[in-house]
Amino acid sequence: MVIHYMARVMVKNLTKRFGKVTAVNRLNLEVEDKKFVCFLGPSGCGKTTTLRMIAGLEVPDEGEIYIGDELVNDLTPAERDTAMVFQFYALYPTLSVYDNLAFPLRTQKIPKGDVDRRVREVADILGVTKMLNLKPEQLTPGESQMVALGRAIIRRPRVYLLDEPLTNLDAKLRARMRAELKRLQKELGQTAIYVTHDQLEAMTMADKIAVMNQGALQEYDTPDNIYNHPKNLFVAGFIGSPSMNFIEGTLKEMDNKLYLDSGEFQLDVTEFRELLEEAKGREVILGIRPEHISVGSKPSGAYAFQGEVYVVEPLGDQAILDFKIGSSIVRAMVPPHFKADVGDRLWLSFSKENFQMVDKKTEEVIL
Amino acid sequence: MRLKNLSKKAGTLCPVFDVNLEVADKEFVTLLAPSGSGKTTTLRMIAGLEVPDEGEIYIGDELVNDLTPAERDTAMVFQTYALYPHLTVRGNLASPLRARKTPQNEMDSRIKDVADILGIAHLLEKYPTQLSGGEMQRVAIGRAIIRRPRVYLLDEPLTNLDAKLRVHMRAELKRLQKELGQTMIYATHDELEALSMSDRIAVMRNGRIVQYGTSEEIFEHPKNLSVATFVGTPTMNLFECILSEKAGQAYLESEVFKLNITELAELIRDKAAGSEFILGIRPSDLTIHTEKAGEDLIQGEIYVLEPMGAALVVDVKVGQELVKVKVPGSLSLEPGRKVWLAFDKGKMHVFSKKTKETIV
Repeated sequence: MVIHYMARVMVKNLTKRFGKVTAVNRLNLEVEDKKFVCFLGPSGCGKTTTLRMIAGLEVPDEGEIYIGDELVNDLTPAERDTAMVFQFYALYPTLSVYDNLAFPLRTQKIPKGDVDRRVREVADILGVTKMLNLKPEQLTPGESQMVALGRAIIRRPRVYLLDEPLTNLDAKLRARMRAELKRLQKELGQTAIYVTHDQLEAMTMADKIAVMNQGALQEYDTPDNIYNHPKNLFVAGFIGSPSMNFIEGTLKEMDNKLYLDSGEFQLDVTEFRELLEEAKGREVILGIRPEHISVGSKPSGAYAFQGEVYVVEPLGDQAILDFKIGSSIVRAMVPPHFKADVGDRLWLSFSKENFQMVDKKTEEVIL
Repeated sequence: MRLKNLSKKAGTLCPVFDVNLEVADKEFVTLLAPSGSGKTTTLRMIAGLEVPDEGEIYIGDELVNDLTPAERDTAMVFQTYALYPHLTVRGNLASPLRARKTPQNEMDSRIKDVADILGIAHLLEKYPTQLSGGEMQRVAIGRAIIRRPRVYLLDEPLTNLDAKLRVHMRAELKRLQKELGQTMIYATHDELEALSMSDRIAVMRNGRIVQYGTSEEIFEHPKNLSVATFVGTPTMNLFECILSEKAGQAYLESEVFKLNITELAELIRDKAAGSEFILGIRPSDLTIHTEKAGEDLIQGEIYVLEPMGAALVVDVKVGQELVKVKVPGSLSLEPGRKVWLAFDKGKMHVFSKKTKETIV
């Protein structure tokens, strides 16, 4: 039997200060029922503090937290009925995997037969059935983290709260666990909030990503929109690896045409005149993702500039060419056997759909 | 630089066995291995910080086994940037030169050169505590290169930096090494660092070098299963297979598919020990089809989609196994949908199940 709760999570004007530091500043956010939402940002951005306030482990200075339709500010962590998984898998070293999984149920005085059935169910979902009789010290880090997850999901809380659960695993295992966790959340069909500083985890797993920086929500949207239509410079630079290229320039009017002048090259952006009218004369930042640049001996897109190859970085199934443009480096993704040598002068081309323009002063995306 | 039958078994947690390595002048060579595989031990023996049990170390044409670290004229950069906290950046850069009683005016000009190359000229009067991780690591590298030693030895110098900075420093270090034109040996567990920076990579496992070659050779022609799965993200997909023959056609057969490999059969039979194989194919060498178009396709079901922005990794459930497929851009497919995977046969790898060595 699967009991299903409506478990949207909503925070209103949520604020938390530690001394003079505002860790979370007037955060407004709604996590819809059954969705997988990632809080993403660098360390110190307020993502973990927010999660801990939702769990009831920190008391907000201002604002409200709702789970379902219930205001939970005054409820204890246990009454809120969330389950939290931490970066460090907290297992009881003296108990077997079976007993570790059973523990949260036994404390709730659930009948023995039900406990056994649930433990086996969860072990099956997580692929740890063969390990039920082992002790934590006999497990690999990945297996330990699976058991820790199992302990969180066995109770069927209203909301799962995960705090960087994959951070301590090695890269290969992280890549595998990402897919497993995403699938698991969909199978359980329960709301999950996942905190991470790893943009790739957020991109690959989340239904929606809340990008945070310095205690403030920067953007809250689907991975696709966050990646392709970032709202500001921070989001544009934080999401994607290698990062979006940023080239500084000025919007100038000449001979009735509008140009972006970078000092090294000029791009005719007259077709966007209406959108850029207000920014005329201002300093702007041109943003282009490495995979949106096509490299060749001739220009091949609506927009193009020249650069000299600074470094060639083969990566196996693709390669990065680093170009030096003025004092900044511009990176372009190319196929693995692309022929280019350091010092070659080549054209970097891109289409009008595939670049961003940011107002340097406000750091907002204007195009 | 040359290592001949180098071994270190006693007195170390990470022993090294019979390492042979030739590094050409001005070459950038990376020792790539998971931690505990002996790469740091190897670097330390070259630097003279550990004494080998057996084997010879040559720098240039000179046997250096009996030379002190200083006489060997190498410079080592560590994972944790060891800077003097009470000295400014300038003082830190100057210390290796002072130790060698370099005249003041020469010292000033060398510091200026190195600071310019590393982009730290504006930090010269600051103290280490005022620097970011990336800046500190650049100063640490500056201290190593200011002396112009014969060989640079770098032990995971980027490991403690954040992901963005690591990507940035990768390119800078590669460029720097070419500009300095001096031999560099670089130890890392990060395959992307190794692939992107090195002229050649020595992949180590359990204290031994298992393959030594260019990035392309290591990625496209791994010598055995362990190299194949260590290099490449997501990891190469593997299927256990047996070779079967019928009506003059040869097949690699697994629980979930049957692949006609008649053109490769002879090669496989010649080199194989046993009839059991592991077929490996990289996620970027598979394609996804929503209809059964053609032969030799593997049927599966979409399990999870992992959008990464520039690429999409599709996890496909084939039998009990998850197969990862990397496609450029995006695809609109729903979990649960039935799909067929096509192999790029020119890019598949066949390993002997018994020896784990590459056959094709």
